[in-house]
Amino acid sequence: MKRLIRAGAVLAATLLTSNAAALQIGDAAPDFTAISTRGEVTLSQVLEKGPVVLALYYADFTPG
Amino acid sequence: MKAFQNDIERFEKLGAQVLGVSADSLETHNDFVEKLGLNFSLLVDDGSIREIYGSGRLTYLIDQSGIIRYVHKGMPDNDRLLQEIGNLQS
Repeated sequence: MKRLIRAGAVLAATLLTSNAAALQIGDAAPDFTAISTRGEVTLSQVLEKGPVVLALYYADFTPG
Repeated sequence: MKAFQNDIERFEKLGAQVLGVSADSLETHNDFVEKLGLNFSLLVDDGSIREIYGSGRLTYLIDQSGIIRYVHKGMPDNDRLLQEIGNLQS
């Protein structure tokens, strides 16, 4: 039930929120640090190893 | 994120790293990683990443010098994305 409510909330968020990019091609990607499933991640440090695909999505356990 | 996992070897072959970002907790992320067998990182966004990068489902390709080279809105298109990564190296 909890998951159903959660799915409904995500669906509502999906319908109400447009995919609005705040940055464009050619812009410098602002650096950030966040905790992750593999420890703390800082964008600039990951970029030292190669290009990065930064994939923003609505929520875990949703399609895509 | 499953779609990225399905093609993860193609991304790795091009030297690109995938970072998934949502507002889920680390605990939920860990469950999701385990369920889908993801072998890339999921980041916990406290709101600050969305504030900078935008809302909804967005995929950015950032080259090694930190410049955004491709932006995709909506469900990711891996073939197109991989093509764009390939273009970075040419």
